[in-house]
Amino acid sequence: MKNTLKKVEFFTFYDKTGIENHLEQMASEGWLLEKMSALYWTYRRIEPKKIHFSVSYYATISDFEPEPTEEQQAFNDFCEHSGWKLATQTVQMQVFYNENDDPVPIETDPVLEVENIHRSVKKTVLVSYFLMLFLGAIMGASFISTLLGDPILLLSSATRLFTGIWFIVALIYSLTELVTYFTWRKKAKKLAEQGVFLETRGHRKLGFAITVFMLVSIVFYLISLANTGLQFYMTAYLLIFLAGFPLVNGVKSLLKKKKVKEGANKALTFAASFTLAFVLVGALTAVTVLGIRNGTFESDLKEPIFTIGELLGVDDSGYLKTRGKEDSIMLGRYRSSQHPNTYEHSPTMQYTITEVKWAFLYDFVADTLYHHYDEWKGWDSSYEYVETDEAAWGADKAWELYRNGEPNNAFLVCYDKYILEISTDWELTAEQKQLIGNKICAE
Amino acid sequence: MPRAKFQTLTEQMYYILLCLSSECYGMDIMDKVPQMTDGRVKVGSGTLYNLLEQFLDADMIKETKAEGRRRCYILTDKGRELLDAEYKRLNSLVYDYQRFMEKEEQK
Repeated sequence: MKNTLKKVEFFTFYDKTGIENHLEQMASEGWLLEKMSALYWTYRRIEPKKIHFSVSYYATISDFEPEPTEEQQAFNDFCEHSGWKLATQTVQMQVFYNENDDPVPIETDPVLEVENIHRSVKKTVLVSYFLMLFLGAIMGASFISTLLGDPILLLSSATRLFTGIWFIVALIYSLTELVTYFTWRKKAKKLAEQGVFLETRGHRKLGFAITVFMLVSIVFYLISLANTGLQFYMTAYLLIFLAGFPLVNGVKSLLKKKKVKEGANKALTFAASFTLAFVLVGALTAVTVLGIRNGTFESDLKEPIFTIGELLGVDDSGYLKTRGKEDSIMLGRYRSSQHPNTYEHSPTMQYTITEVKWAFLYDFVADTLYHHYDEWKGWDSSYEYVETDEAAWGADKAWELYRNGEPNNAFLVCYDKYILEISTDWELTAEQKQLIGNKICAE
Repeated sequence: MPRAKFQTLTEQMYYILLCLSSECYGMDIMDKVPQMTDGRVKVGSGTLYNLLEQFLDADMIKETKAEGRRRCYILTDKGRELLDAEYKRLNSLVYDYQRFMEKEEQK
Protein backbone atom coordinates (compact mmCIF):
# COMPACT_ATOMS: atom_id res chain seq x y z
CA MET A 1 0.00 0.00 0.00
CA LYS A 2 1.41 3.38 -1.00
CA ASN A 3 2.01 5.76 1.86
CA THR A 4 2.56 8.88 -0.20
CA LEU A 5 0.47 10.44 -2.90
CA LYS A 6 1.68 13.01 -5.41
CA LYS A 7 -1.05 15.11 -6.99
CA VAL A 8 -0.97 17.94 -9.49
CA GLU A 9 -3.20 20.68 -8.08
CA PHE A 10 -4.55 23.71 -9.90
CA PHE A 11 -5.31 26.22 -7.15
CA THR A 12 -5.01 29.94 -7.58
CA PHE A 13 -2.38 31.36 -5.18
CA TYR A 14 -4.84 33.45 -3.14
CA ASP A 15 -7.65 30.86 -3.09
CA LYS A 16 -7.37 30.34 0.66
CA THR A 17 -10.91 28.99 1.02
CA GLY A 18 -10.58 26.55 -1.88
CA ILE A 19 -7.24 25.19 -0.63
CA GLU A 20 -8.43 24.79 2.96
CA ASN A 21 -11.63 22.97 1.92
CA HIS A 22 -9.70 20.70 -0.41
CA LEU A 23 -7.10 19.79 2.24
CA GLU A 24 -9.86 19.04 4.77
CA GLN A 25 -11.50 16.75 2.21
CA MET A 26 -8.15 15.00 1.52
CA ALA A 27 -7.57 14.48 5.28
CA SER A 28 -11.05 12.98 5.65
CA GLU A 29 -10.00 10.53 2.92
CA GLY A 30 -6.74 9.72 4.77
CA TRP A 31 -4.21 12.04 3.14
CA LEU A 32 -2.37 14.82 4.94
CA LEU A 33 -0.48 17.47 2.97
CA GLU A 34 3.26 17.13 3.47
CA LYS A 35 4.91 19.23 0.77
CA MET A 36 4.02 21.71 -1.96
CA SER A 37 6.22 22.12 -5.03
CA ALA A 38 5.73 24.01 -8.25
CA LEU A 39 4.62 20.86 -10.08
CA TYR A 40 2.76 18.78 -7.52
CA TRP A 41 1.74 18.45 -3.88
CA THR A 42 2.79 15.46 -1.78
CA TYR A 43 0.39 13.87 0.71
CA ARG A 44 1.18 11.39 3.50
CA ARG A 45 -1.20 8.55 4.41
CA ILE A 46 -2.94 9.03 7.79
CA GLU A 47 -6.00 7.65 9.53
CA PRO A 48 -8.96 9.38 7.84
CA LYS A 49 -10.16 12.10 10.22
CA LYS A 50 -11.53 15.59 10.50
CA ILE A 51 -8.62 18.05 10.48
CA HIS A 52 -8.88 21.81 10.21
CA PHE A 53 -6.57 23.62 7.82
CA SER A 54 -5.56 27.25 7.62
CA VAL A 55 -3.61 28.94 4.85
CA SER A 56 -1.61 31.94 6.03
CA TYR A 57 0.11 34.46 3.83
CA TYR A 58 3.38 35.87 5.09
CA ALA A 59 4.81 38.43 2.66
CA THR A 60 8.32 38.47 4.10
CA ILE A 61 9.04 34.76 3.57
CA SER A 62 11.77 34.33 1.00
CA ASP A 63 12.28 31.09 -0.87
CA PHE A 64 16.03 31.72 -0.77
CA GLU A 65 16.45 31.80 3.02
CA PRO A 66 18.61 28.87 4.15
CA GLU A 67 16.27 28.26 7.09
CA PRO A 68 13.16 29.89 8.54
CA THR A 69 13.93 33.38 9.84
CA GLU A 70 13.52 34.23 13.52
CA GLU A 71 10.27 36.09 12.71
CA GLN A 72 8.90 33.10 10.83
CA GLN A 73 9.77 30.77 13.68
CA ALA A 74 8.18 33.14 16.17
CA PHE A 75 5.03 33.21 14.03
CA ASN A 76 5.03 29.39 13.91
CA ASP A 77 5.47 29.31 17.73
CA PHE A 78 2.39 31.52 18.12
CA CYS A 79 0.41 29.18 15.85
CA GLU A 80 1.64 26.07 17.63
CA HIS A 81 0.61 27.57 20.96
CA SER A 82 -2.99 27.51 19.74
CA GLY A 83 -2.72 23.99 18.29
CA TRP A 84 -1.84 24.89 14.70
CA LYS A 85 1.02 22.78 13.34
CA LEU A 86 2.91 23.76 10.22
CA ALA A 87 2.17 21.21 7.45
CA THR A 88 4.32 22.87 4.81
CA GLN A 89 5.18 26.19 3.29
CA THR A 90 5.91 27.51 -0.13
CA VAL A 91 6.77 31.00 -1.31
CA GLN A 92 4.89 33.36 1.03
CA MET A 93 2.21 30.78 1.81
CA GLN A 94 2.10 28.61 4.90
CA VAL A 95 -0.31 25.75 5.50
CA PHE A 96 -1.17 24.88 9.11
CA TYR A 97 -3.40 22.10 10.42
CA ASN A 98 -5.16 21.63 13.72
CA GLU A 99 -6.66 18.41 15.06
CA ASN A 100 -8.69 20.05 17.85
CA ASP A 101 -12.47 20.12 17.50
CA ASP A 102 -13.15 23.82 17.41
CA PRO A 103 -9.86 25.69 17.19
CA VAL A 104 -9.52 29.46 17.29
CA PRO A 105 -8.72 30.45 13.69
CA ILE A 106 -5.21 31.77 13.00
CA GLU A 107 -6.69 34.94 11.59
CA THR A 108 -9.49 36.53 13.60
CA ASP A 109 -9.28 40.00 12.06
CA PRO A 110 -10.53 40.00 8.44
CA VAL A 111 -9.06 43.46 7.75
CA LEU A 112 -5.56 42.21 8.56
CA GLU A 113 -6.18 39.00 6.67
CA VAL A 114 -7.26 40.74 3.45
CA GLU A 115 -4.20 43.02 3.70
CA ASN A 116 -1.85 40.07 4.32
CA ILE A 117 -3.21 38.27 1.28
CA HIS A 118 -2.77 41.40 -0.82
CA ARG A 119 0.83 41.95 0.28
CA SER A 120 1.73 38.38 -0.68
CA VAL A 121 -0.22 38.47 -3.95
CA LYS A 122 1.56 41.72 -4.85
CA LYS A 123 4.96 40.17 -4.22
CA THR A 124 4.29 36.93 -6.09
CA VAL A 125 1.62 36.33 -8.72
CA LEU A 126 0.45 39.87 -9.50
CA VAL A 127 3.62 40.78 -11.44
CA SER A 128 3.38 37.56 -13.49
CA TYR A 129 -0.31 38.14 -14.23
CA PHE A 130 0.29 41.73 -15.41
CA LEU A 131 3.26 40.63 -17.52
CA MET A 132 1.19 37.81 -19.02
CA LEU A 133 -1.65 40.26 -19.69
CA PHE A 134 0.70 42.74 -21.39
CA LEU A 135 2.39 40.14 -23.61
CA GLY A 136 -0.90 38.35 -24.26
CA ALA A 137 -2.55 41.60 -25.36
CA ILE A 138 0.29 42.61 -27.72
CA MET A 139 0.88 39.17 -29.23
CA GLY A 140 -2.85 38.36 -29.29
CA ALA A 141 -3.56 41.58 -31.19
CA SER A 142 -0.76 40.78 -33.65
CA PHE A 143 -2.20 37.23 -34.08
CA ILE A 144 -5.71 38.53 -34.78
CA SER A 145 -4.41 41.22 -37.13
CA THR A 146 -2.45 38.55 -39.13
CA LEU A 147 -5.49 36.26 -39.06
CA LEU A 148 -7.59 39.01 -40.64
CA GLY A 149 -4.89 40.41 -42.97
CA ASP A 150 -2.99 37.33 -44.13
CA PRO A 151 -4.81 34.23 -42.86
CA ILE A 152 -2.92 31.82 -45.13
CA LEU A 153 0.44 32.93 -43.69
CA LEU A 154 -0.89 32.22 -40.23
CA LEU A 155 -2.73 28.98 -40.94
CA SER A 156 0.24 27.48 -42.77
CA SER A 157 2.77 28.10 -40.00
CA ALA A 158 2.47 25.83 -36.99
CA THR A 159 4.77 28.12 -34.98
CA ARG A 160 2.81 31.29 -35.76
CA LEU A 161 -0.50 29.53 -35.23
CA PHE A 162 0.34 27.86 -31.91
CA THR A 163 2.26 30.75 -30.34
CA GLY A 164 -0.62 33.08 -31.25
CA ILE A 165 -3.14 30.74 -29.64
CA TRP A 166 -0.93 30.31 -26.54
CA PHE A 167 -0.66 34.06 -26.08
CA ILE A 168 -4.43 34.42 -26.37
CA VAL A 169 -4.85 31.68 -23.75
CA ALA A 170 -2.38 33.57 -21.52
CA LEU A 171 -4.41 36.74 -22.05
CA ILE A 172 -7.69 35.03 -21.10
CA TYR A 173 -6.13 33.34 -18.06
CA SER A 174 -4.39 36.43 -16.67
CA LEU A 175 -7.43 38.61 -17.30
CA THR A 176 -9.73 36.14 -15.55
CA GLU A 177 -7.40 35.88 -12.56
CA LEU A 178 -6.87 39.64 -12.26
CA VAL A 179 -10.56 40.52 -12.59
CA THR A 180 -11.53 37.81 -10.09
CA TYR A 181 -8.86 38.87 -7.61
CA PHE A 182 -9.56 42.60 -7.70
CA THR A 183 -13.34 42.03 -7.58
CA TRP A 184 -12.85 39.78 -4.56
CA ARG A 185 -10.51 42.29 -2.89
CA LYS A 186 -12.95 45.17 -3.34
CA LYS A 187 -15.83 43.23 -1.80
CA ALA A 188 -13.60 41.60 0.84
CA LYS A 189 -12.32 44.99 2.08
CA LYS A 190 -15.87 46.26 2.56
CA LEU A 191 -17.03 43.15 4.36
CA ALA A 192 -13.85 43.01 6.49
CA GLU A 193 -14.80 46.41 7.97
CA GLN A 194 -17.94 44.68 9.24
CA GLY A 195 -15.86 41.83 10.68
CA VAL A 196 -16.62 39.28 7.96
CA PHE A 197 -14.04 37.45 5.85
CA LEU A 198 -15.26 36.97 2.29
CA GLU A 199 -14.44 33.47 1.03
CA THR A 200 -12.05 33.41 -1.91
CA ARG A 201 -12.91 31.95 -5.26
CA GLY A 202 -10.26 30.42 -7.52
CA HIS A 203 -10.33 28.93 -10.99
CA ARG A 204 -9.33 25.34 -10.41
CA LYS A 205 -11.25 23.99 -13.42
CA LEU A 206 -9.89 26.74 -15.70
CA GLY A 207 -6.33 25.99 -14.51
CA PHE A 208 -6.86 22.28 -15.22
CA ALA A 209 -8.42 22.94 -18.64
CA ILE A 210 -5.60 25.30 -19.66
CA THR A 211 -2.90 22.86 -18.53
CA VAL A 212 -4.48 20.00 -20.50
CA PHE A 213 -4.96 22.27 -23.53
CA MET A 214 -1.32 23.43 -23.38
CA LEU A 215 0.04 19.88 -23.13
CA VAL A 216 -2.14 18.60 -25.98
CA SER A 217 -1.35 21.61 -28.15
CA ILE A 218 2.41 21.26 -27.55
CA VAL A 219 2.21 17.62 -28.72
CA PHE A 220 0.17 18.70 -31.77
CA TYR A 221 2.67 21.48 -32.44
CA LEU A 222 5.65 19.14 -32.37
CA ILE A 223 3.84 16.61 -34.59
CA SER A 224 2.93 19.31 -37.10
CA LEU A 225 6.61 20.31 -37.32
CA ALA A 226 7.38 16.85 -38.72
CA ASN A 227 7.97 18.05 -42.30
CA THR A 228 9.60 21.38 -41.64
CA GLY A 229 13.06 20.49 -40.31
CA LEU A 230 12.27 22.27 -37.02
CA GLN A 231 11.01 19.25 -35.11
CA PHE A 232 14.36 18.22 -33.62
CA TYR A 233 15.28 21.77 -32.67
CA MET A 234 11.93 22.66 -31.08
CA THR A 235 11.65 19.33 -29.20
CA ALA A 236 15.18 19.74 -27.84
CA TYR A 237 14.45 23.37 -26.96
CA LEU A 238 11.31 22.32 -25.07
CA LEU A 239 13.20 19.59 -23.20
CA ILE A 240 15.92 22.09 -22.26
CA PHE A 241 13.23 24.44 -21.00
CA LEU A 242 11.66 21.65 -18.93
CA ALA A 243 15.03 20.44 -17.64
CA GLY A 244 15.96 24.01 -16.70
CA PHE A 245 13.39 24.17 -13.87
CA PRO A 246 14.67 21.25 -11.77
CA LEU A 247 18.28 22.21 -12.50
CA VAL A 248 17.87 25.82 -11.33
CA ASN A 249 15.75 24.65 -8.41
CA GLY A 250 18.47 22.15 -7.57
CA VAL A 251 21.07 24.93 -7.44
CA LYS A 252 18.83 26.96 -5.10
CA SER A 253 18.17 23.95 -2.83
CA LEU A 254 21.86 23.02 -2.71
CA LEU A 255 22.81 26.57 -1.70
CA LYS A 256 20.11 26.52 0.97
CA LYS A 257 21.50 23.24 2.32
CA LYS A 258 24.95 24.82 2.41
CA LYS A 259 23.42 27.66 4.48
CA VAL A 260 24.33 30.30 1.92
CA LYS A 261 22.72 33.63 2.82
CA GLU A 262 19.53 34.76 1.07
CA GLY A 263 21.11 37.55 -1.04
CA ALA A 264 24.05 35.40 -2.17
CA ASN A 265 21.71 32.51 -2.98
CA LYS A 266 19.53 34.81 -5.12
CA ALA A 267 22.54 36.14 -7.03
CA LEU A 268 24.13 32.71 -7.54
CA THR A 269 20.85 31.06 -8.58
CA PHE A 270 20.21 33.86 -11.07
CA ALA A 271 23.76 33.53 -12.44
CA ALA A 272 23.35 29.74 -12.66
CA SER A 273 20.06 30.01 -14.56
CA PHE A 274 21.53 32.54 -16.98
CA THR A 275 24.67 30.42 -17.56
CA LEU A 276 22.62 27.24 -17.90
CA ALA A 277 20.30 28.81 -20.47
CA PHE A 278 23.27 30.18 -22.39
CA VAL A 279 25.22 26.90 -22.34
CA LEU A 280 22.28 24.61 -23.15
CA VAL A 281 20.83 26.74 -25.96
CA GLY A 282 24.36 27.38 -27.29
CA ALA A 283 25.13 23.65 -27.24
CA LEU A 284 21.86 22.88 -29.00
CA THR A 285 22.54 25.44 -31.71
CA ALA A 286 26.10 24.12 -32.18
CA VAL A 287 24.85 20.50 -32.43
CA THR A 288 22.21 21.54 -34.97
CA VAL A 289 24.69 23.50 -37.12
CA LEU A 290 27.28 20.69 -37.00
CA GLY A 291 24.57 18.11 -37.74
CA ILE A 292 23.41 20.01 -40.81
CA ARG A 293 27.01 20.47 -42.03
CA ASN A 294 28.03 16.84 -41.72
CA GLY A 295 24.70 15.56 -43.05
CA THR A 296 23.39 13.96 -39.83
CA PHE A 297 20.36 16.24 -39.94
CA GLU A 298 19.28 16.21 -43.55
CA SER A 299 17.13 19.06 -44.55
CA ASP A 300 13.76 17.49 -45.15
CA LEU A 301 12.67 20.11 -47.67
CA LYS A 302 11.82 18.28 -50.85
CA GLU A 303 13.59 18.82 -54.13
CA PRO A 304 11.56 21.18 -56.32
CA ILE A 305 8.41 19.41 -57.57
CA PHE A 306 9.22 20.68 -61.06
CA THR A 307 12.21 22.65 -62.35
CA ILE A 308 13.07 25.10 -65.10
CA GLY A 309 15.29 22.39 -66.58
CA GLU A 310 12.36 20.01 -66.95
CA LEU A 311 10.14 22.69 -68.47
CA LEU A 312 12.66 24.22 -70.87
CA GLY A 313 14.72 21.13 -71.52
CA VAL A 314 17.98 22.76 -70.39
CA ASP A 315 20.67 21.66 -67.95
CA ASP A 316 19.75 23.54 -64.76
CA SER A 317 22.22 21.81 -62.45
CA GLY A 318 24.05 25.11 -61.86
CA TYR A 319 20.84 27.09 -61.32
CA LEU A 320 20.07 28.77 -58.04
CA LYS A 321 17.09 27.01 -56.53
CA THR A 322 15.84 28.48 -53.30
CA ARG A 323 13.02 26.77 -51.52
CA GLY A 324 11.05 27.08 -48.35
CA LYS A 325 8.32 25.25 -46.55
CA GLU A 326 5.81 26.09 -43.89
CA ASP A 327 3.54 23.48 -42.48
CA SER A 328 0.71 23.18 -40.03
CA ILE A 329 -2.06 20.69 -39.39
CA MET A 330 -4.29 22.74 -41.70
CA LEU A 331 -2.09 23.99 -44.54
CA GLY A 332 1.29 23.33 -46.10
CA ARG A 333 3.04 25.99 -48.23
CA TYR A 334 5.91 24.98 -50.44
CA ARG A 335 7.82 27.79 -52.21
CA SER A 336 10.42 27.54 -54.96
CA SER A 337 12.37 30.17 -56.84
CA GLN A 338 14.75 29.27 -59.67
CA HIS A 339 17.09 31.28 -61.93
CA PRO A 340 20.52 30.70 -63.58
CA ASN A 341 22.84 32.32 -61.02
CA THR A 342 23.53 35.38 -58.93
CA TYR A 343 24.09 37.63 -61.93
CA GLU A 344 21.67 36.20 -64.50
CA HIS A 345 17.99 36.38 -63.67
CA SER A 346 16.50 34.93 -66.82
CA PRO A 347 14.88 32.54 -67.35
CA THR A 348 13.27 32.73 -63.92
CA MET A 349 10.39 30.99 -62.24
CA GLN A 350 8.73 31.30 -58.83
CA TYR A 351 5.93 29.18 -57.58
CA THR A 352 4.09 28.39 -54.37
CA ILE A 353 2.05 25.26 -53.89
CA THR A 354 -0.47 25.37 -51.09
CA GLU A 355 -1.65 22.04 -49.75
CA VAL A 356 -5.08 22.25 -48.10
CA LYS A 357 -5.23 19.48 -45.52
CA TRP A 358 -8.69 20.27 -44.16
CA ALA A 359 -11.12 20.09 -47.10
CA PHE A 360 -13.55 22.62 -45.64
CA LEU A 361 -10.81 25.28 -45.82
CA TYR A 362 -10.29 24.79 -49.56
CA ASP A 363 -12.78 27.39 -50.85
CA PHE A 364 -11.63 29.94 -48.25
CA VAL A 365 -7.94 29.49 -49.21
CA ALA A 366 -8.66 29.59 -52.97
CA ASP A 367 -10.79 32.70 -52.53
CA THR A 368 -8.12 34.42 -50.42
CA LEU A 369 -5.42 33.70 -53.02
CA TYR A 370 -7.73 34.84 -55.82
CA HIS A 371 -8.18 38.18 -54.05
CA HIS A 372 -4.49 38.50 -53.19
CA TYR A 373 -3.96 41.38 -55.64
CA ASP A 374 -7.11 43.30 -54.69
CA GLU A 375 -5.11 45.62 -52.45
CA TRP A 376 -3.09 46.78 -55.49
CA LYS A 377 -6.22 48.24 -57.09
CA GLY A 378 -5.99 52.01 -57.44
CA TRP A 379 -2.18 52.03 -57.61
CA ASP A 380 -0.22 52.67 -60.81
CA SER A 381 -0.66 49.09 -61.92
CA SER A 382 -3.90 47.18 -61.75
CA TYR A 383 -3.94 43.41 -61.45
CA GLU A 384 -6.81 41.09 -62.22
CA TYR A 385 -7.23 37.33 -62.44
CA VAL A 386 -9.01 36.27 -65.62
CA GLU A 387 -10.38 32.77 -66.01
CA THR A 388 -8.36 30.60 -68.38
CA ASP A 389 -8.51 27.07 -69.79
CA GLU A 390 -8.17 24.71 -66.79
CA ALA A 391 -7.98 21.63 -69.04
CA ALA A 392 -4.57 22.83 -70.30
CA TRP A 393 -3.31 22.49 -66.71
CA GLY A 394 -5.18 19.24 -66.02
CA ALA A 395 -6.79 21.25 -63.19
CA ASP A 396 -10.26 21.94 -61.77
CA LYS A 397 -10.00 25.71 -62.24
CA ALA A 398 -7.36 28.15 -63.54
CA TRP A 399 -6.93 31.93 -63.79
CA GLU A 400 -4.27 34.02 -65.47
CA LEU A 401 -3.10 37.27 -63.91
CA TYR A 402 -3.50 40.35 -66.09
CA ARG A 403 -1.53 43.51 -65.39
CA ASN A 404 -3.06 46.69 -66.80
CA GLY A 405 -5.15 44.47 -69.12
CA GLU A 406 -2.16 42.47 -70.43
CA PRO A 407 -1.40 38.79 -69.57
CA ASN A 408 1.46 38.63 -67.09
CA ASN A 409 2.75 35.00 -67.24
CA ALA A 410 1.35 34.36 -63.78
CA PHE A 411 -1.34 31.83 -62.95
CA LEU A 412 -3.50 30.61 -60.13
CA VAL A 413 -4.40 26.96 -60.66
CA CYS A 414 -6.64 24.81 -58.46
CA TYR A 415 -6.18 21.04 -58.17
CA ASP A 416 -7.89 18.54 -55.92
CA LYS A 417 -6.14 19.55 -52.66
CA TYR A 418 -3.32 21.71 -54.06
CA ILE A 419 -3.41 25.30 -55.27
CA LEU A 420 -0.56 26.52 -57.46
CA GLU A 421 0.55 30.15 -57.84
CA ILE A 422 3.20 30.36 -60.55
CA SER A 423 5.03 33.20 -62.25
CA THR A 424 7.59 32.88 -65.10
CA ASP A 425 9.35 35.36 -67.35
CA TRP A 426 8.42 33.45 -70.48
CA GLU A 427 5.09 32.37 -71.88
CA LEU A 428 4.30 28.84 -70.74
CA THR A 429 3.41 26.43 -73.56
CA ALA A 430 0.55 23.92 -73.43
CA GLU A 431 3.11 21.09 -72.98
CA GLN A 432 4.78 22.88 -70.08
CA LYS A 433 1.41 23.49 -68.39
CA GLN A 434 0.51 19.83 -68.86
CA LEU A 435 3.86 18.73 -67.41
CA ILE A 436 3.35 20.93 -64.35
CA GLY A 437 -0.20 19.55 -63.94
CA ASN A 438 1.07 15.96 -64.14
CA LYS A 439 3.80 16.65 -61.57
CA ILE A 440 1.37 18.21 -59.10
CA CYS A 441 -1.25 15.49 -59.58
CA ALA A 442 1.48 12.88 -58.98
CA GLU A 443 2.06 14.45 -55.53
CA MET B 1 -15.49 54.04 5.08
CA PRO B 2 -12.29 52.33 6.28
CA ARG B 3 -11.20 52.99 9.81
CA ALA B 4 -8.12 55.27 10.19
CA LYS B 5 -5.33 53.23 11.72
CA PHE B 6 -5.62 53.03 15.55
CA GLN B 7 -7.97 56.05 15.69
CA THR B 8 -10.51 53.68 17.11
CA LEU B 9 -9.54 50.22 18.29
CA THR B 10 -11.11 46.92 17.38
CA GLU B 11 -12.10 44.66 20.27
CA GLN B 12 -9.02 42.53 19.69
CA MET B 13 -6.68 45.55 19.67
CA TYR B 14 -8.33 46.88 22.81
CA TYR B 15 -7.87 43.66 24.77
CA ILE B 16 -4.32 43.09 23.56
CA LEU B 17 -3.35 46.58 24.75
CA LEU B 18 -5.23 46.01 27.99
CA CYS B 19 -3.22 42.82 28.59
CA LEU B 20 -0.04 44.78 28.01
CA SER B 21 -0.82 47.39 30.65
CA SER B 22 1.42 45.16 32.69
CA GLU B 23 4.39 43.26 31.34
CA CYS B 24 3.26 40.16 29.46
CA TYR B 25 4.61 37.54 27.03
CA GLY B 26 3.13 38.04 23.61
CA MET B 27 2.05 34.43 23.31
CA ASP B 28 0.26 34.47 26.67
CA ILE B 29 -2.14 37.12 25.38
CA MET B 30 -3.88 34.37 23.38
CA ASP B 31 -4.90 32.71 26.69
CA LYS B 32 -5.46 35.89 28.70
CA VAL B 33 -7.99 37.57 26.40
CA PRO B 34 -10.58 34.75 26.49
CA GLN B 35 -10.13 34.57 30.29
CA MET B 36 -10.72 38.33 30.63
CA THR B 37 -13.84 38.19 28.45
CA ASP B 38 -15.34 34.86 29.55
CA GLY B 39 -14.51 33.47 26.13
CA ARG B 40 -16.40 36.21 24.29
CA VAL B 41 -13.29 37.53 22.53
CA LYS B 42 -10.62 35.27 21.09
CA VAL B 43 -7.48 36.42 19.32
CA GLY B 44 -6.04 34.21 16.58
CA SER B 45 -2.30 33.54 16.64
CA GLY B 46 -1.70 35.19 13.24
CA THR B 47 -3.77 38.22 14.11
CA LEU B 48 -2.00 38.62 17.46
CA TYR B 49 1.43 38.30 15.85
CA ASN B 50 0.58 40.90 13.21
CA LEU B 51 -0.96 43.33 15.68
CA LEU B 52 2.04 43.12 18.01
CA GLU B 53 4.28 43.95 15.03
CA GLN B 54 2.07 46.91 14.14
CA PHE B 55 1.90 48.16 17.75
CA LEU B 56 5.70 47.96 17.94
CA ASP B 57 6.08 49.88 14.67
CA ALA B 58 3.68 52.55 15.98
CA ASP B 59 5.58 52.78 19.31
CA MET B 60 2.47 51.81 21.21
CA ILE B 61 4.26 48.94 22.97
CA LYS B 62 7.88 48.13 23.64
CA GLU B 63 9.80 44.92 24.13
CA THR B 64 10.98 44.42 27.70
CA LYS B 65 12.78 41.09 27.57
CA ALA B 66 13.33 38.09 25.33
CA GLU B 67 13.78 34.42 26.26
CA GLY B 68 14.75 32.67 23.07
CA ARG B 69 11.96 33.53 20.71
CA ARG B 70 9.50 34.38 23.53
CA ARG B 71 9.22 38.11 23.93
CA CYS B 72 7.72 40.23 26.66
CA TYR B 73 6.01 43.55 25.97
CA ILE B 74 4.49 46.46 27.84
CA LEU B 75 2.53 49.56 26.85
CA THR B 76 4.44 52.75 26.12
CA ASP B 77 3.06 56.14 27.17
CA LYS B 78 1.69 56.55 23.66
CA GLY B 79 -0.01 53.15 23.85
CA ARG B 80 -1.48 53.97 27.26
CA GLU B 81 -2.81 57.28 25.92
CA LEU B 82 -4.50 55.49 23.03
CA LEU B 83 -5.96 52.84 25.31
CA ASP B 84 -7.24 55.53 27.69
CA ALA B 85 -8.72 57.47 24.80
CA GLU B 86 -10.52 54.34 23.61
CA TYR B 87 -11.77 53.67 27.14
CA LYS B 88 -13.15 57.20 27.32
CA ARG B 89 -14.75 56.85 23.91
CA LEU B 90 -16.43 53.60 24.94
CA ASN B 91 -17.56 55.23 28.18
CA SER B 92 -19.07 58.11 26.30
CA LEU B 93 -20.98 55.60 24.16
CA VAL B 94 -22.36 54.01 27.32
CA TYR B 95 -23.13 57.41 28.84
CA ASP B 96 -24.94 58.53 25.67
CA TYR B 97 -26.95 55.33 25.67
CA GLN B 98 -27.99 55.74 29.27
CA ARG B 99 -28.94 59.39 28.85
CA PHE B 100 -30.95 58.73 25.70
CA MET B 101 -32.77 55.69 27.09
CA GLU B 102 -33.63 57.50 30.32
CA LYS B 103 -35.21 60.31 28.32
CA GLU B 104 -37.14 57.77 26.24
CA GLU B 105 -38.43 56.05 29.36
CA GLN B 106 -39.54 59.40 30.88
CA LYS B 107 -41.65 60.20 27.80
